[in-house]
Amino acid sequence: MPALSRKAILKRLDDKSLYVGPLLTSKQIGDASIDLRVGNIALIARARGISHVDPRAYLEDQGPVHAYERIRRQKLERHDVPFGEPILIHPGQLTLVPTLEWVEMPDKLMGQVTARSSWAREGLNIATATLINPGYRGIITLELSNLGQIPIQVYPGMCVAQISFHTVEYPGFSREQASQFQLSFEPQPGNIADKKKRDDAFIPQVKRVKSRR
Amino acid sequence: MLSPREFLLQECRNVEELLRDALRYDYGPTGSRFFFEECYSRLQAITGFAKTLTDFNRKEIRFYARELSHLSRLIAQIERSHIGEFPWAFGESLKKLAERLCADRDLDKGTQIKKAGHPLFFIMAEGGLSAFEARKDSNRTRLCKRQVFTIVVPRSLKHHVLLHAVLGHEVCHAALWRSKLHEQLNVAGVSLGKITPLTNSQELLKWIGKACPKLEAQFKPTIEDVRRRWLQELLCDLFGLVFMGPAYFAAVRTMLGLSDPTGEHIDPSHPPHVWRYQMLEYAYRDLGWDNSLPKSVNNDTQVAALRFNTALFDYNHSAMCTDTVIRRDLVVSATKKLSKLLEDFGGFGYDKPEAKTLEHLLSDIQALRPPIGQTVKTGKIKFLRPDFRQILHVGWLACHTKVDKILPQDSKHDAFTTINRLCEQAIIQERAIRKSRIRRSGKKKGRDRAGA
Ligand SMILES: [Zn+2]
Repeated sequence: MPALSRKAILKRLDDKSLYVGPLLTSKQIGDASIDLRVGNIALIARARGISHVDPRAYLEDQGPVHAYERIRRQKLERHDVPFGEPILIHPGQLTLVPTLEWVEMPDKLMGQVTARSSWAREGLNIATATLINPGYRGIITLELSNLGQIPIQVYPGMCVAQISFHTVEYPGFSREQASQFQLSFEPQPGNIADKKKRDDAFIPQVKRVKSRR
Repeated sequence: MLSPREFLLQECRNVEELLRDALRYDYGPTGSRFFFEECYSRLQAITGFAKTLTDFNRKEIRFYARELSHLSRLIAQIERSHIGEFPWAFGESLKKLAERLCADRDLDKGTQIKKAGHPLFFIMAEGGLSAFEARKDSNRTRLCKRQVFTIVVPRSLKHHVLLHAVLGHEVCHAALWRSKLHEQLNVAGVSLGKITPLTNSQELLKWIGKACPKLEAQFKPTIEDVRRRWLQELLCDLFGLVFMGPAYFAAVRTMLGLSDPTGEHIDPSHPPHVWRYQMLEYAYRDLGWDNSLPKSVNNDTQVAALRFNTALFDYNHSAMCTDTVIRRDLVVSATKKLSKLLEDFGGFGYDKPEAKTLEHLLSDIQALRPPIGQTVKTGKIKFLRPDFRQILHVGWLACHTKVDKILPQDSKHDAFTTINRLCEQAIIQERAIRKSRIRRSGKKKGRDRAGA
């Protein structure tokens, strides 16, 4: 899976077959990656939210039902953070933030998002190396987590992550898949119970008949 | 039981606690310091006076109780100005302009006088579509160091920045509360007062009697108030257009269309909507915004501009004799004066982008990316640097293209929200671009106009 060099990245940005913007300086483009900045939203687990993550809460997709919707909305606290205001990340804490950049992946590329090593040495990590699928459009959700011993403060606009680009063999995705891509404007808590992948077959059913409309 | 004086002092302490407690909330991106300091200074003034009173100073007790009540309402309101509930980047850009516009200035030199007395603007969200509103502060100059204006936006429209263009109108209401600006704005809009039914209350009553005889008796007792209000509303509309650009007209048409589809309803608070549309149309045309785009611009942009204009001007021009009541020459005269006034203040009027800029920004939206006009050529990155009002303009143009055709299946039904969110994102990104440029060059470069 060869990675795109700076030259190849620039060429793709130039002919617009790849879009990452705004790039506030050309220094943001490294030898084989582009630095990504923290955007203006932070999703943090709520102190008085739910007690645990239960995949059952993710199964409901039939429209708002109080219990399900409540769990989804109460799990994370949402903060809109303007430039100049800090986001504090405590040791062990997971914070979902969007990138400032809007990213558009062509069919032939996939992206891999990792922490910048300078931040990683301070303890700030991207919890997993996020994979960005071919055809993706939108902001990228960064799962920031502080693996160090002391709290870390980050400010929207700072480069904390980087994305490298890799070519995909036999590109092209099915029509059905293409139509499933949503534009992503905000960090999304992922779907851990995916009916399309038959996760629901392994999750015990919730008794919910009577409360539904 | 507490005596009135004791209760007044008690309430002073309560309001102080409320003010401290309000610091738990994020009320507005620029922080809470100025607001806290202003409220605290008002509270100290009220408490100071209250302490000197005896139970026999009934009039004074009533006066300070009312001021205190106003203050606590203001604090409780601002406490709800939670930045997750309205488009904060748009709000910031608008606030910045409004604060500069309403700042005290030395008009001879065209400069602002920097002082701690500039008004503060706060934005908050409330339920209901009619929430777009500017709220006035207390008039008691003895107690206030800085005026605090609250701009209210509908909570349900959190991401719909295109509709927020109607706030241009509310900014004018706020400007009219500043005594000096009030005079100048009224002078600029003086020709609107020559619109026949608005020249005097008798004329207006006559017109209402003709348009809707059964309303005549109802309007009669307050007809002079109605006349003044209608005049002010027309002035605020004209200001909104000159200040916010074409997006204002589109937002007004969309918002008003819901409450009064024909535009012919007669209401004491606002002139008939068709009058407003007709006035805005004349002004729009006078500003040259309806001119067809040069041939060098691609077909999509030309068609979008054409469709957009057609949609704006699509209303019943002859309803309620609008075409004879609203005279083009009077509107044009007011538009020219208002444009000049806003220009003299330091470039507050809308600056229509070059056709090529419109084309590029529109193509950004059509490619489903935030319209900031980024180009990368041989390693050099450039931006078009649109003003937030230009982003809104392009957003409205995009509503008249076939964006929905390229949208993913799930959002096809809601192209309007997608366009709004792309524009909202662009306004945020544009702030980041500006911030990075200011830091690098040490100060603002090449942006002398008021555009934010
Ligand atoms: Zn009004």
